[in-house]
Amino acid sequence: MTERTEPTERTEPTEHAEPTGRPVPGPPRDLTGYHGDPPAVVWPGGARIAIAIVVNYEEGSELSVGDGDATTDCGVTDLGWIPQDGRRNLALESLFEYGSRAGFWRLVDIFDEHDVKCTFYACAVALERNPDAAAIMRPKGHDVMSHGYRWEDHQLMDRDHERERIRLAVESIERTTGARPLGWYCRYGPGVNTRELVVEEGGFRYDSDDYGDDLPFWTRVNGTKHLVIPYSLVNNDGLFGAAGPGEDFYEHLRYTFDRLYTEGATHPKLMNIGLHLRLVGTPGRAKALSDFIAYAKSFPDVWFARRIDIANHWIEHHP
Amino acid sequence: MSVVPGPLRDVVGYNGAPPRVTWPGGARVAVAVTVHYVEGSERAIGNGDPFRETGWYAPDRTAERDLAAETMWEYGARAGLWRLLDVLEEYRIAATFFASAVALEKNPDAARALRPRGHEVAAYGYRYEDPRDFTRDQEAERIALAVESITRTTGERPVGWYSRTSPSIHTRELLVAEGGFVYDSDSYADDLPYWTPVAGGRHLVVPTTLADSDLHFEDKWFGSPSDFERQLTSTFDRLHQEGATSPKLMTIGLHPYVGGHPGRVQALTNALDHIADVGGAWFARRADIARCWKDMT
Repeated sequence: MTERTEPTERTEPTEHAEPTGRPVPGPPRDLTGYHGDPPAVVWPGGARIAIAIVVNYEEGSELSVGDGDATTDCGVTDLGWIPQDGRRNLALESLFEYGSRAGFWRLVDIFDEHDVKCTFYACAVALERNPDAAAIMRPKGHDVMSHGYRWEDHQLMDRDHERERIRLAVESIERTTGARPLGWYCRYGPGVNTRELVVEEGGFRYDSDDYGDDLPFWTRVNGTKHLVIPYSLVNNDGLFGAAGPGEDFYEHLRYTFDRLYTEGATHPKLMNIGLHLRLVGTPGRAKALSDFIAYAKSFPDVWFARRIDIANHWIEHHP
Repeated sequence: MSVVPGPLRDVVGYNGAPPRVTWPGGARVAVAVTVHYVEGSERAIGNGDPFRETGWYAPDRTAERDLAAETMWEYGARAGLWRLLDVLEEYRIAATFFASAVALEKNPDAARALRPRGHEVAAYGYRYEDPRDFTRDQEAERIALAVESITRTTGERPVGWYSRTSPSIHTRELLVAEGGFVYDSDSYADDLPYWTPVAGGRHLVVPTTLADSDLHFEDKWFGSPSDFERQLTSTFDRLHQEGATSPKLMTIGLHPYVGGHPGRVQALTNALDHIADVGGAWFARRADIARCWKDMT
């Protein structure tokens, strides 16, 4: 890695030359971040890379005519993005069910085989409907954070409704997994009020409603410091929908690892891996994930980290 | 026949007999690494715009803020751009940045980092915007604003131009009228630069390509990063072969919010390693290629 030559003095942008004057709902944008000069992070054990494996557990909480909803969700399945009408789609329902019935247990086995811990992005209702799965997450050493009460779009909620959904999610996950979630991640993206409400709730250490950086960062919410651990839809099995067989996903992860491991000689970063039970939980793709974990473990100085570990590390070392 | 507004089409070009050029050092291929820097100048509710870009998510809700999409663009400005700058430095490549002026205004440290590292900054609109959305007068004003802004944020005026999506029927005339532009890249029509008549004079076009662009990760033509790598090495290998008798131009198109992600950068560096192994490449800024062409033709 080359050393950067510019001074570390940072310039914040002034208002650009074309102010539209329109009020912006929600948090201001941040297009400068670490200004090309990110902190030299020392991960535990001097690791060159922190790998955060995230398993989205959504199955059973998605909109489904089979559960009395008006339509059935079509997000992130082998059928692709085909919006549904009001008829039951039993095929689509069973594609989701594969995730909670088969995919979950296969992934848990793979994590056991490799002795790595993951973070579950858990939708509360999905765990309520699969109590045995919910009950083994924490005892096996995995982290559980909140991915909403159901798998639902927070951009569509009014503030009071959203506050209530966040409260319900916390209460439910505490009940099904034995401890309250300390992290928050919306489906896809937050609404303009989400971060304020997450801070207002009071028990969260961080959220992951951001795709904007390779490292955690602090932001301010109504004068309070708030930690963000960005996530990724690039290193995500959602790519399977359009981009080839499991081996391609292995290669994708390997390339990402190779670059970040190189950078980690001087500037260790965070590598997110986003997974869905109903996609990567199928055997061919699960093999790709398992092969990648074995590949990464063949290198020294690799830290497989749960998001709460990353949050606690950041709070302690980069307050 | 009705009168067609704008430039005449040219479906003949060099007529199968392109000029045999000699690139500096006798290189077989001129390789133009071209980084499109637009992050922060795209349409976004977070910018105060009435509508956001139409992404894949909720395309029917463009009047509502999409914080997820906004941060995906921000990744380019905060992480991807700096990673690409590091790679260009590692490989000692001087690149061309097609920059939307407002993107640079919103990231002053990035704007100031470009020219001192030897890169060219060409104009990619005042904002990331389609010139066809403007009247001729509005477009002339946007071009002038872009030139003024980029001169201010990077210390020098841009001498090259590239339009989002498509130039308007006025764009090329307006660039010539504005003056100071050595070339534009508003063409995908050839493997070599070419002269075109504008307002009684001649104007240089340095064509670009979408074939060797990281944007094919966005439309999912590329899945694994190695797809991008193989596309680049195949392009180079073919042009290297042709370059024994007929040297050409290769453009590698990069977007920090797309190609700045680490796995895709690994694909890029693998391809650059391959090009270095094969040899015969002249890594050139588009302005260098334009000036070279001006001297030769």
